Amino acid sequence: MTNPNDTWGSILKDEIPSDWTQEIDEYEAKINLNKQGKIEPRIFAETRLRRGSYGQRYDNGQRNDGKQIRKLTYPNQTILKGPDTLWDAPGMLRIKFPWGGMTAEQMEVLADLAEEYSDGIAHITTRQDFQLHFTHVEDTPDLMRRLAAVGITTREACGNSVRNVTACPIAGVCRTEAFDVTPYAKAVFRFMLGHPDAQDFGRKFKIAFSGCEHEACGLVNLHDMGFIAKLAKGNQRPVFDAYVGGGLGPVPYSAKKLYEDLPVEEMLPTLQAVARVYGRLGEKKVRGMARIKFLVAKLGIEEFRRLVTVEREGLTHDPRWTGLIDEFTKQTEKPLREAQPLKAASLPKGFLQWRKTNTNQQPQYGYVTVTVKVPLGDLTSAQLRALALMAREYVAETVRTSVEQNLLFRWVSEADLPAFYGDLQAIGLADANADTIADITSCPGTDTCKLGISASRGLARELSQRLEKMMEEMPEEVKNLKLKVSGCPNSCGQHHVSDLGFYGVSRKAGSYTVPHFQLVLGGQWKNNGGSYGLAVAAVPSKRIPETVQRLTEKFMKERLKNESFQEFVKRVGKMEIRNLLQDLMVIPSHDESPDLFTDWGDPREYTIADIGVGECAGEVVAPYEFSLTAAESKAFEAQVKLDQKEPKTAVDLAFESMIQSAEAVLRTRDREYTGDAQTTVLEFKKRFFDTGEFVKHVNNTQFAAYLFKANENKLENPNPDEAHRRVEESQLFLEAVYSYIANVGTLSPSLPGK
Amino acid sequence: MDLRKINLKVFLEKGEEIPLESFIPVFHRWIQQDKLPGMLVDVAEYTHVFQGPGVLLIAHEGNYSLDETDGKRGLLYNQKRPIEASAESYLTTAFHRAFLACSLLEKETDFSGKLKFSPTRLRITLNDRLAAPHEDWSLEEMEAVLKNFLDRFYAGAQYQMAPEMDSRKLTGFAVNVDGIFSIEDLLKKVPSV
Repeated sequence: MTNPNDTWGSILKDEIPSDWTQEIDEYEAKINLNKQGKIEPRIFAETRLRRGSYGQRYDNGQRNDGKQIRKLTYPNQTILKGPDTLWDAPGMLRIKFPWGGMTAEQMEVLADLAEEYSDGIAHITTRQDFQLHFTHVEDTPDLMRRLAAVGITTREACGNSVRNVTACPIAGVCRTEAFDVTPYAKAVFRFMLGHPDAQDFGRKFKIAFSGCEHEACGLVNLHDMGFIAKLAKGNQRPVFDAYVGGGLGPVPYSAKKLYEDLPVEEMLPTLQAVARVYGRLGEKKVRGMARIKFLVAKLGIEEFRRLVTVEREGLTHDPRWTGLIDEFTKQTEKPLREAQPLKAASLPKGFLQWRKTNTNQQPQYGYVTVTVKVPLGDLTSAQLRALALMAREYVAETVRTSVEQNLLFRWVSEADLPAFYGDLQAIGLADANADTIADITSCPGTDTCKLGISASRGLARELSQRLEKMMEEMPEEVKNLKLKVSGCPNSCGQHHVSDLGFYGVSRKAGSYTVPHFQLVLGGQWKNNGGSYGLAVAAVPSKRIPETVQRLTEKFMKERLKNESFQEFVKRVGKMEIRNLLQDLMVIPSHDESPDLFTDWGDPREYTIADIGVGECAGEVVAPYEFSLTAAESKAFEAQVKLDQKEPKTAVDLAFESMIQSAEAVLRTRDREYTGDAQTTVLEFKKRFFDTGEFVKHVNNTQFAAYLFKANENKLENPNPDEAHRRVEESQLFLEAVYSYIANVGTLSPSLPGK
Repeated sequence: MDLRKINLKVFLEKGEEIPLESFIPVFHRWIQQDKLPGMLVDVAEYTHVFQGPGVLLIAHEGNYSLDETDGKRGLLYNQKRPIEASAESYLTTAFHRAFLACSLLEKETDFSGKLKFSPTRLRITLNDRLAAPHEDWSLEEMEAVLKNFLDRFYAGAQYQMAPEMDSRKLTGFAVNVDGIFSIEDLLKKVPSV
């Protein structure tokens, strides 16, 4: 019988490492101090973020219910868990699963926690984590204890820290890998967790591992730091190509090669040296410019490499650099059951299609990996428990999450596949078509994210259902396309590296705001996220399914033999694609199509930032709208020039677009404003940036900074990367201006600052 | 027994064929209208999840949902945060809120007579493995507390209580009551706390 004085801490104390117990106890003490008003909310926020406890949408205590802004009258209106973040507002707990690995016991505990503290769902993220939504901050210490008891820490899941270390989910059982990167990912996780050299970053730091260069799996190109496994020429020793300075966010950067053929024993000291350089030289004040990608771009890779090399030479030797690798390379996975061939008699209905799309041969004869397709990454407690049983029954608990929000079982014997499939059917997880166009990755978007602009999950749900119905007739080249959705430009859905990517934006239509998604084409998933797409057209959210249909039909009809979608887009050109969608971009009146003015799965009249319908009346085209149209047009022309390999012209057009965007903002207050480029930049800075007016309503300093940067550095001789970034920045500044206008409306009595 | 995290599910008698998505605009409207007790916050959709939480109306004190766990749809009330209450009060609160939600849903014009809940088929669980671990003593204690309440609530009618046997699941009981009862009449017995 449980003692009434029992707590989770007392029950689990022998099962949790003592240092983890101490950390969690200290965190809980800070919760209590915060409740007494003894900690500044800003400090407490960073404390809880570093333990994976995040905010969620509406935690500022207000929510537009579709008719009005409603105050959320939580019991505690004075205690905050961060700036403008109410204590009782639901939050989210992010749970790290380094390299995606999880045991059956961990699945079972996760199942219990999803039931008791969340909404009954455990959500797989695009970085191999799990998230529990609608949690209460006061429950987080016990959540952490129960996770710690099964070897999971949430430490540094969020905040300015080394985040979850991701790795290819088939590392060790992959036919194309140079060697198994799993031990190295484990070593990095252990080494960097709480490392003193990683405590003074200005921003997050994400690390990834790939077993090979040409597949997607680790997506090293998108990461702050990444390692691609190789065998050295000649002696065939395992080495890494180390990369640094990649990152998605609104403007994606491709990682640069830091070192080629880095001996594996140099991996950890190199990482430590990079952390020290970043901690010392990285931006700390302007959050929007604080990722390591900006530092690498500013210094150039040569200088960055020099700094890292010097730093490395000065490091005090740490035996863990090799000790951890030795420790983890000794841990090898083994199958649970003997490999037996599949017996063909009486296979369940649907099995063959599922086997074709969801299983892959391992190099170890007779074994396959099985991808369990998890719709939108969401699992119930019942499903998790059943999967835990399967992990014990069919494999030696060798299960991993993937960045495509699925689960992978490794070492499944071919002979077991029919029974395995049957078990999946019983829990509703036997859908075929894993990793196809119907298997859509999405960030949480407006469902729970404070930054969400459009309903990424709602769209993904709708598209997935429609595409599933079409899969039988769909040609292979379309089936194999990647489709990813983000709720905003920050690209947590990784839309930049998909064939068809979408990110949430909004557009004004008279006094209404309409949810849209920006179409991003030309991204490459393979080659570790080999290249990034560019925005082509903003289409109303409810017309995205039609957009997908037109694009895929055009691809099917006009594709040249063996032409990839990326090559097709390049050949056809974005102008033609935009023309294909032009009619979809026209917004009818609210009375004609009220459905367009709501988002997927949300019947509320659409708004952004909890502001209701604006005060601008009528359909007269205001001067600022002309400027916006011009800005849009210039931004698009810039992209076309980029496609035509004219980077200088592209850069010039991008700058012109930015000037038009800034002019649009000025014209919201002064209908008759005109001025040359320099005057426009100065006036915008004086009236809207220095006064805080623009940032207040856009909630981001970064976008306006792009304008100033472009004005200072016109890039006389840009390389393709620089041109690509400048074009992207012009698009983002334009989006920020749309957002500002939607939030503020137009024509208040005078210019701010006057 | 600590009943702070009591969960009550009222199963459907009619309406399994109504698409789950249909409940989304209803819950949004209820937020606008402050239709239910508790501080109503948001609507969460999980219609894509097999036998999942369905559609939830997230509230601060306790969530309401059209839940499809084990393939059986019902209205689930999940008490989350403590309220100033005795054990009895937590039960009263849960029954009041769940039955009220059922009553209001049945009356929604969107469902016009197609939806009916059964106030005599319930699942009552304690969503707290610390206060109510799945052990014999916990089941016995809970059974005693529930019987004390149900005897009065169903006015002496016969009922069967089947304990949850799967130790991985939450401590709780399936309850089947003999006889015909109306939600409206039962609601009068559990006024708002």
